[in-house]
Amino acid sequence: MNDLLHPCEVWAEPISLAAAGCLSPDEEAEARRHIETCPACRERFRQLAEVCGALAELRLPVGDEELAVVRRAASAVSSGEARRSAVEWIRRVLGRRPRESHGPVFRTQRPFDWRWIMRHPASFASAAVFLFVIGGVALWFHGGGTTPALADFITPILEAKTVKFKFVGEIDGRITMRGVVMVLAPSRGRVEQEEISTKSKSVEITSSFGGKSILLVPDKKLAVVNQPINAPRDEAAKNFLGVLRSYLLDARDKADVRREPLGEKEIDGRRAVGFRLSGRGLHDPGWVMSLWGDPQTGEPIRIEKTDLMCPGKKVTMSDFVFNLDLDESLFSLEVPTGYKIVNIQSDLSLPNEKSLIETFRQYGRLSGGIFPDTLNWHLILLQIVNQGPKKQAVRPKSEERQNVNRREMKRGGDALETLREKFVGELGYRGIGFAVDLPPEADAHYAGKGVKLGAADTPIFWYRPKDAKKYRVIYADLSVRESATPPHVPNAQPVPAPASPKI
Amino acid sequence: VDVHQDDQCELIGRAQAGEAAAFERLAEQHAARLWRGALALGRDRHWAEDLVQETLLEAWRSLPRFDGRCRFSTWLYGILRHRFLKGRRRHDAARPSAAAALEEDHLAAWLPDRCAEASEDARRVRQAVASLPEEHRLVVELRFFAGATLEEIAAALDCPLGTVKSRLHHALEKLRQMKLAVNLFAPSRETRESKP
Repeated sequence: MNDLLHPCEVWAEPISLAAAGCLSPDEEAEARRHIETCPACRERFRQLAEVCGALAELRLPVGDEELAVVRRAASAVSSGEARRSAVEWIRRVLGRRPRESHGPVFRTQRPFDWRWIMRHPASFASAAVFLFVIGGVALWFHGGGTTPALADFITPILEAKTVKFKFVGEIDGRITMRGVVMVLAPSRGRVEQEEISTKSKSVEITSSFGGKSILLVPDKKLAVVNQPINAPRDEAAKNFLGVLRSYLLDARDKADVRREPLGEKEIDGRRAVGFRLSGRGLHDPGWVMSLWGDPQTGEPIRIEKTDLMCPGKKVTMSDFVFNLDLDESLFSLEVPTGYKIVNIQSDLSLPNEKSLIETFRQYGRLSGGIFPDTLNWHLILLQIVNQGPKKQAVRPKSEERQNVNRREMKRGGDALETLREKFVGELGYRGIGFAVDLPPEADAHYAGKGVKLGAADTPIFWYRPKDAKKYRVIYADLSVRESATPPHVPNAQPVPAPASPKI
Repeated sequence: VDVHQDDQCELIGRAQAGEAAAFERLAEQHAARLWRGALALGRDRHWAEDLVQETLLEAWRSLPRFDGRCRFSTWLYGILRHRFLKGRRRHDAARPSAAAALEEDHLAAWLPDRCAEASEDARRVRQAVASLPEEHRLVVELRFFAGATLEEIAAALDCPLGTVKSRLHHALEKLRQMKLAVNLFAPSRETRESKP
């Protein structure tokens, strides 16, 4: 298996490459000369040729359908088709099959305005609506997935100086609030809203994402001034357009969405083309959106959206107007005279496991020592706010809880009320947000229904952190242990709930 | 340099000058290769479509910077790699792992439907490829499934040409050893029994 000049080891790679058809004619001729003189290498070459022959039979077929994909893409790119209206593009891609994948990453500033939520537990807080719309409008122009002309679709939004539209919030099909949203580029927003059952009206004005906002409740002459902490350092992410750009880029590069055509229908006397988008993202446990637009103008007519954080809730946006005159004074952050000012600070940092444990702990304090039936934030809110905490309910038994209670008693009756407000405004939301934001591969489950706070060796929540081999298991005494396998608890609920909300 | 090469140089020049038809012609010439590369890397038909679109868009925008120091197809594969890496983290969770492919033959799932009826022999070969370490598997898939040249593979994987040669050699050697040791490439029992 040798010749004097070339030990066979030297020929090993050329022979492999020759079998794979990867040598130049001269190189191959040289390799073959050796093969002809060396029986061992000849046998190896024969075996490799068989292997390569079997592999070559598996060459991916390219038929007319595949070639058409490339042709269409090339044509779209070079002819500027991608610069046509979003609706045209959407129609073009509607023929594609939906895919299973993760959704866009939303940079959400969640509503932490506890007083507003306390008064309107069934409402969509304005910031949420505001962000829904950003997501909606962005997706509308973006088309909900990867597109070769993303930059072109961004342009209309970047050029829009103002946007105004109406919105309606529903809970389980019942309208709970309605209002008007106004956006003044680049970052200022105003939401005028009315809670249907109480007819309570309020106005929220935001300066930027992560920036100062005020909520005015005229009936109460109340102004809640929110100065968030731990806002994103990225200045671009703090204004409307920065967030929008970030969202669009995330949607293009980091995630995509499931698309389903909804066909055509008439909305308010206009012919509309619709499709359904759904996905999930790092800050968004999951959402479903229906978009209906005018095929002639490419403008949105109606956008409906739900998210998995609050199943059963839906917001519908309509009557969009772009580039209208909006007075600067509508976006003033000065509190009118005569209003009582309440200052709050919402935490915009990412929640973590400790946030969830704190949520369980505080919920237990408010509920008299039990865990929520489910990690549905909407249901938790209703229980805490509408039904009210059981102030005189089960006395805490643990020493810690006794201490907590003693401290609260010293502060007077307002202590529990304050805790409830903090829970609704921020503590609770952050913990639940952490849980429902976990990706499917975390295999998160909740089993706290009916479990009493402090029960020993009773797992209530578990998940597997990213890249970890072991599960993190939170027990009813709020201790955390690691386990190679998930606890076996009958009727444990998957988190987030697997079923997508329907629109 | 053949006529095709001259034709391609002319097309590139016209496309660089902004002629859409020339760019479309170029894309047409490389359509099969681009599609196969996208599918081999993405292992998902929908993602492959996106990769093709994104690659062509980036190619169109970057075309003025193409200096001809490598083949146009190699340059395209470099862009394809860039787009693949950009979207990889997002798609990885949904993509079948090589291990899963080995166990359940998921590789068949990313082939077009008409390949789903591939023979038992083909399944064995795909399983053997799926069992290779990723750096070896990718080279084999790009070379044989996508039909890429070594230069294109180097561009797609962003590694030196010598590394590609070495990986391909070692990958083929492993497959040859499999063929000898566990007879993975042997005809299936059904095939053997069906023969007279």
